[in-house]
Amino acid sequence: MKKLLVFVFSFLFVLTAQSFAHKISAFVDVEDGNVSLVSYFSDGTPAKNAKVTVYDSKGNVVLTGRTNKEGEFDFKVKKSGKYRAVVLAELGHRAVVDFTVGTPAASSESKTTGNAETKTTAQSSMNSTALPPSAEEFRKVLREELRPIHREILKIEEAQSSISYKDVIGGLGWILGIFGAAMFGYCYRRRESGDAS
Amino acid sequence: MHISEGVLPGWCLITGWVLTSAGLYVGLRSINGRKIPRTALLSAVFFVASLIHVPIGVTSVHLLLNGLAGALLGWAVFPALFVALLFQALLFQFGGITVLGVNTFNMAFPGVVAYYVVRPLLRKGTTGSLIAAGVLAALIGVFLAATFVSAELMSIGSSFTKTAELAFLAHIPVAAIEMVINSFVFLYLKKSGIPLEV
Repeated sequence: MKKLLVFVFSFLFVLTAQSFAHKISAFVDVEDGNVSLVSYFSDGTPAKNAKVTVYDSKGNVVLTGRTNKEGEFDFKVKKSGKYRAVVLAELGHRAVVDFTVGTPAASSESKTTGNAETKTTAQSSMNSTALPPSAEEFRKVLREELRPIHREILKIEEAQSSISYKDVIGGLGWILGIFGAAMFGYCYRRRESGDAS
Repeated sequence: MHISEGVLPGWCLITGWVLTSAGLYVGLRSINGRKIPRTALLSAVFFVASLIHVPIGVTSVHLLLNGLAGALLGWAVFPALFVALLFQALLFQFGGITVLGVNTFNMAFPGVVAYYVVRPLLRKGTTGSLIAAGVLAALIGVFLAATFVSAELMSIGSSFTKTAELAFLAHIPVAAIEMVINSFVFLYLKKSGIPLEV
């Protein structure tokens, strides 16, 4: 029996180590009005065939679509401005991403995870003042040069959106604390009434 | 099977909170001193179990263990899962605060049903009946929760049969793993002379 218990627990541990999480995250990459959106469950499984709705800053629906097998959805927006994409996957999973298209130097990225409250926006925009006449080309070269960094940042953001052991242990501590306080209250009350009698 | 923030309409969220509050009231009244440590333990188990998960096709699912918690706690499963889901929402962004009512009800109510169904089997206490109790608790906990989720997602226009089909298929492996875990836990408790009900 003991052996079996050890087996079950080690089995659980292996599973836990392999993958963490249960929410979806969405990431957006913008280049000249071409927007590519990727959506994952936070263990890295792509959110396949999830419904994507893109809103402009006034809340009007610009376009809708579905992600492919890799959890990707590519689309174009004509007007520059701020947009919001909402990804709705099966069984009530939802992620929100804000992004900007066509600011002066045309390169921005942003992401949000899971629920709208925890929003971190990483924006890298180049200032277009004082560029030589071949500004267009210069920008293009620069974008090529920055692409690896760009990818790296996306990777870091993805890593950040997953769950750490710290959160798990912290949560367990909270649960023990709350029920410990309840136990304390219960014992205290019992002792009080015991004294009285 | 946590429903995310902003998916369900307001009336759905409010209904969830009302039902959960009722469950919490009954649950808290049923807790006595001997039950507090057990409630805490199963709350912690549920909290961690949601991190153990299996990618299936278009979605990914995780262990629930709400049947186990329900069978061992009765109505006290409501406060136990409420606390666990609260911290999952705060720390992992699973679900969210406004949908906490709905999510708690989805998980805890099947637990209560499992409690009433398996109670006679646990009382009987033979090896066979304990295994049967483990299997039943897993099935009721997982599939009743899947049914609730599918029903609630109807309110945003998904078809019930389609969502339910997906939820059921995706949770078959989860239910299978839970049957084994539940049976082991019941047998272990019996062997150690720990009462299965409090």
